[in-house]
Amino acid sequence: MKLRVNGQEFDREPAPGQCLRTYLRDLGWFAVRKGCDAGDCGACTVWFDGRPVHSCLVPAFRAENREVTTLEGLAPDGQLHPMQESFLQAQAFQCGFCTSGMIMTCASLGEEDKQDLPFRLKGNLCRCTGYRAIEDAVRGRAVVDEDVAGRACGSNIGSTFATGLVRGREHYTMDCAIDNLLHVKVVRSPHAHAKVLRIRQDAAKALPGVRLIVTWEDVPRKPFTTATHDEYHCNPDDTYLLDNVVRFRGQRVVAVYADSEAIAEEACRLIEIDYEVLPAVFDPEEAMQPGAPQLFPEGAAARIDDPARNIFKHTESEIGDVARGFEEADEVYEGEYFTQRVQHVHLETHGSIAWKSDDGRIHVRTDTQTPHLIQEKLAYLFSLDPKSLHVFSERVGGGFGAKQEMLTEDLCVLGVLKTGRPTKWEWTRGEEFIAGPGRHPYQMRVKLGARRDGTLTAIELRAVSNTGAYRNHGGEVLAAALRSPVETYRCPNKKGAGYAVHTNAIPAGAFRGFGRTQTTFAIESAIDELAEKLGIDPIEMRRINMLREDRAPGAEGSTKIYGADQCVDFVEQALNSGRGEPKPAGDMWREGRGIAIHFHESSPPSQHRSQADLFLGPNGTFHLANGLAEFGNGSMNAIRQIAAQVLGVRAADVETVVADTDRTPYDAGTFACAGTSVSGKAVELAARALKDRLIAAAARRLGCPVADGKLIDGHVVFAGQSIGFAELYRQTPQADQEFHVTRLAVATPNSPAFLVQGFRVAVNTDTCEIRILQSVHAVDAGTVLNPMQLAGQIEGGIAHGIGTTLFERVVIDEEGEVLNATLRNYRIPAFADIPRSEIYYADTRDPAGPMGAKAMGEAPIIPISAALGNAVKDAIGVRLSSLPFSADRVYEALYDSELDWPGLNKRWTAELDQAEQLTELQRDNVRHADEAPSEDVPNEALEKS
Amino acid sequence: MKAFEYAAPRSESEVLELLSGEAGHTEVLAGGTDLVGLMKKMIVTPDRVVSLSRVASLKKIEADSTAVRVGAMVSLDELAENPVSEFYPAIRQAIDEIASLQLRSQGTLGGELCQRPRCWYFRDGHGLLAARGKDVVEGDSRFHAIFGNAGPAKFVCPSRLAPALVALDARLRILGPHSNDETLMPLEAFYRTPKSEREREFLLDPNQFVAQVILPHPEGRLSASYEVRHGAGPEYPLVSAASSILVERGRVVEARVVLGQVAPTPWISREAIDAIVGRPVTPETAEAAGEAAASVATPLRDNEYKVRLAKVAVKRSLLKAAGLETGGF
Ligand code: FES
Ligand code: FES
Repeated sequence: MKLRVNGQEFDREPAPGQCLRTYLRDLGWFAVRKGCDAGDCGACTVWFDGRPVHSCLVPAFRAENREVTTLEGLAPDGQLHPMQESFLQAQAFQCGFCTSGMIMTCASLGEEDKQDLPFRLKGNLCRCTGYRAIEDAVRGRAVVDEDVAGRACGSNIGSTFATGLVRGREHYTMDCAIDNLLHVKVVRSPHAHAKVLRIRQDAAKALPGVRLIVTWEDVPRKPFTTATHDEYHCNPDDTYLLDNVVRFRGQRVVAVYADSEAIAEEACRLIEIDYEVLPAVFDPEEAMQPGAPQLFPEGAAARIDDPARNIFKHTESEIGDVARGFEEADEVYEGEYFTQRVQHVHLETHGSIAWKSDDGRIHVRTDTQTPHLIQEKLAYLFSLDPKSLHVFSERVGGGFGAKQEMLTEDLCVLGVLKTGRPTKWEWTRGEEFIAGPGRHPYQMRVKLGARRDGTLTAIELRAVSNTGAYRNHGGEVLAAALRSPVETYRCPNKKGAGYAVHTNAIPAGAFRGFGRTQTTFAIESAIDELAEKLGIDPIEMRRINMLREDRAPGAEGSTKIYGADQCVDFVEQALNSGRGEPKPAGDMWREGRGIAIHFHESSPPSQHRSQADLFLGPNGTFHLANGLAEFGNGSMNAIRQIAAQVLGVRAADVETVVADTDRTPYDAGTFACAGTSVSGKAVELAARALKDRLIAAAARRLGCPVADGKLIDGHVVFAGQSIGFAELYRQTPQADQEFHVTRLAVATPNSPAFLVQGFRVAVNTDTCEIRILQSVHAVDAGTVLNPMQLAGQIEGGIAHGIGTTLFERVVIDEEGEVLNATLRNYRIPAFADIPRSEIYYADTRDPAGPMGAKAMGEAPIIPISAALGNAVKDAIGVRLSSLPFSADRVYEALYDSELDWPGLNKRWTAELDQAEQLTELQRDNVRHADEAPSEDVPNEALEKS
Repeated sequence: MKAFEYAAPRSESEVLELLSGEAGHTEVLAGGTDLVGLMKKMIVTPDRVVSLSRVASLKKIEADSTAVRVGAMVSLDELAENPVSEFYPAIRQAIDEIASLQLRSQGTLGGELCQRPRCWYFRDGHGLLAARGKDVVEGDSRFHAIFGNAGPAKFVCPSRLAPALVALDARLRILGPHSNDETLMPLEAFYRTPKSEREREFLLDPNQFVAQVILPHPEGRLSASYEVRHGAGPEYPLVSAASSILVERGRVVEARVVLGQVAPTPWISREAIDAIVGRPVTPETAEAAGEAAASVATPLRDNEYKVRLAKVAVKRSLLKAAGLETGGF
């Protein structure tokens, strides 16, 4: 079959059943990406005879004698198409995975079309940006600042990979051609709970092209957890590579390795498995009842607080006396809230490729947020020397927590070990829904008491988390859920009870917001309800009760570290300003407004370490290596800016390497906002140490006092004298050692960041539609390192939160089957769904953070659902207490006075009584969970000799 | 995806020669926006796929004084951009709501009408009727039928253009099984509610295909489509309605009111038609027509809300057709 791609002739037969997307990738055009393979996301958009199409829906045969254009061919070599230039100038991407499709669609738009982006961009989804930057690009707005020496921090420095990205030359995990590849596919359990009795693989084995089939009998029987944390103990080992007991529908049972994906898939269909089906339970409240099916009976039950009741983690704590607090209250509010399972929908699905090099080492190319921890885990599982493993990422297409987990690397390495052939496993979008981690569904009960003047007297929260079949992040998420959302308010009496419960649902995992999103929805909704009972304005209610300056940890001297008051003012003023859309005409529209707040502790709940390696090269530029991961979060750019700022050079003068176990020192990975807060701290320490050495060496050379030395634009400058870095390097003996430093930073509690979200909405009482008229977000993020990037994180978080609140929900039936495992039926926000938010920054500085910054990566999503819920309540007078606010629920709220949301039940009081009878062991656990995270670990500095 | 043979004939009669009389063996490929997905998920597994993309006669739009004939392979974009669509606002509005730039340029009129239901049980391999409707009734029925759902079929007809086309009295020209066989069929008769897994949701033998859609001249009829959606993205509407009315001396003398996404077929609401004919279109009469349409609904456990949305959709499509859209839309 002949066709032209980007002006070049190709002649190659498609494989049977191949679509144009994979056909083009086989020809080496990797900018044609996959987000869904079903015509929903637009990541695969190419031009077909000049018109944009989803190449995943075009049979390859159709391209015969046609002309195809991919991003790589949009402009002649070495040039940029105006739309590529615009994307570059507006930095209209974070992870960049959607960018090639986005540019192909936008570049096809005429001037008139550009006026109607909400409509024209329906076929291109972006999970990271919240679309504002994309709109800016199409409108030709430039936001990138010039990279000026000594002014890196605080400037809109463009991303290191921006140019390659807009040209389609950046490579994501699957964008490489490797010969002789084996492809992995797995047989997944059709039952939610079962024992594997017999596996018949003869027919599959006989299929030509099938090279290896592995079952639980063929793999090392070592327990591990898929979750990755620096302190490996915080996630109990309860998982095996392959197991003879399956605890959720979709769990992998058999792995097939074959010459092509199609053959591997066919082989999976030929494998017959006999199961003994066991009773399953999906509701965590039911799972805690006596007689419920037990997921981990004796033996497998290590480190479960109460195996008989499937309670993996039970934590309970009280300060003050809550009972007395309620007695002192003039008003008490009590309510139940429910949050659903949602999916991360990072646009790049999970996947990795492993191979062995001639020296016998194994290389793993993967999309992880935690390369060093994956290395450790693989070494443990396969009893390998960690040094024999090289784990790295190139570009990663989004993570949001889902890639803080080892889901694909293990079976790839197993394939390499067993066959010697390079092995690849790429998940489908469907697999993300049926087997990938999602957000823990929470059932919550909040009780608040306050005096007539609004002062809170008691807060009580009970949270039941459905952690699913395996524990992975469940305990840590619960700990976080019970902490900062409750700590946001000053109140002498607080009580929290949490249960992380096993069910036969798909295991939940780490997710942007990490538990706080769920409990903040409950608490912030409840605060509004209580304010209403008291007749106090909800904004005032928060001013009265929120954490005050004197209580904020780390307050010191004259540094302004507290910005909550400013943030609340910003949002209040903006909502009163009359900006945003007016209410649509017609009586059926009701308008309302609401806010929600959150104090965000920005460090991981357990130990977290990061090391930075920094040296000066002979040509006077710097080389920075840090093991963090860059998946659209902007951390790579942030650390580069920090180093450049301290060293007085341009950001471009700091060559930066991340996410590579061979080329970077240890880093626990990028999650829990640690990218900037911990890795950034390590980089700052290293840069300051190197600065001192440069000045000292120059002072010696020039005979100047050290105290006068400054680093300015690539020179060490003293009064009247200066020396360039390259020259200094030449003149310094053993400069390669002298100007090479390594520093370690450990997570320390830093000052909380603070966020306020405000919305004005209109609810259509006819169609049950919710329309956002205005969105305002104010943050206290300390020093802003890169305003453009921070705005991107905030807008992305808001968009993610709007999706969670209005549309998203993984629908699972009574047998554990996911019904909406596609992006058509699991709707994430499109361009048209997301308003442009007004964003305000408080003027503060955090002495504990790198360059005065507070960490912010995941926080902005946290108050979104509650703020929307409060606005909807204000509009229609009814509280929506169950996420998402889909049309059927809005209808029920409007027209069904007997509210009874599915998923909630009223067993809470009974539970509480039982909870009184804690065993001694459980109490210990509670204490452990409560105390460990806040342990004060000082920053350490390790010198490299 | 199962391996298949790909054929791209150049004439209508060659297409018919390549189609098998046995169900499931061959599939007709139009724009591919639905079929390719179904094949990837192995919901359909043909041995041969017959592409219509090279049959020039299927890509034409021809108009004379009585009717417009639109080839099945005309893309949704081409149809919306063609001047004839001025006469049929309901069609243009429906296309304007449809998905994305990409799907509009890839998707074709014939393919849009013949797309398979989006019912998640069907798409997950439970069969078209999802175990004779039991899976839906006991499972999650929020997006399923509220009319015509007494039998085992609970899915809704997914086509977004069919309500408008039925309201406009469109007919289909169907070819096959033999090269000179030709059937003209009102679109409303094309769709049916299957009673067993052996039946499809439309009357098309495996060796037939839709060649043209014939639209009668509107002769002064006004029309409009209205979709109720939750959000403004690429999702399917929750409920839609299309109305076509002929107004004389201020009163409706003839009307067609058709609901979409509410029944296994496009749902012609006799009740709404009876309620509006003989009256002027006003917010009150339109509301009454909506009430009338909704009065015969038989919602399932989870989709009572759709009854209200159906009422609203009927009301608004009538007001919109009459040019009375006054805010709130
Ligand atoms: S991969 Fe083609 S649209 Fe998503
Ligand atoms: S930047 Fe759009 S998906 Fe990541």
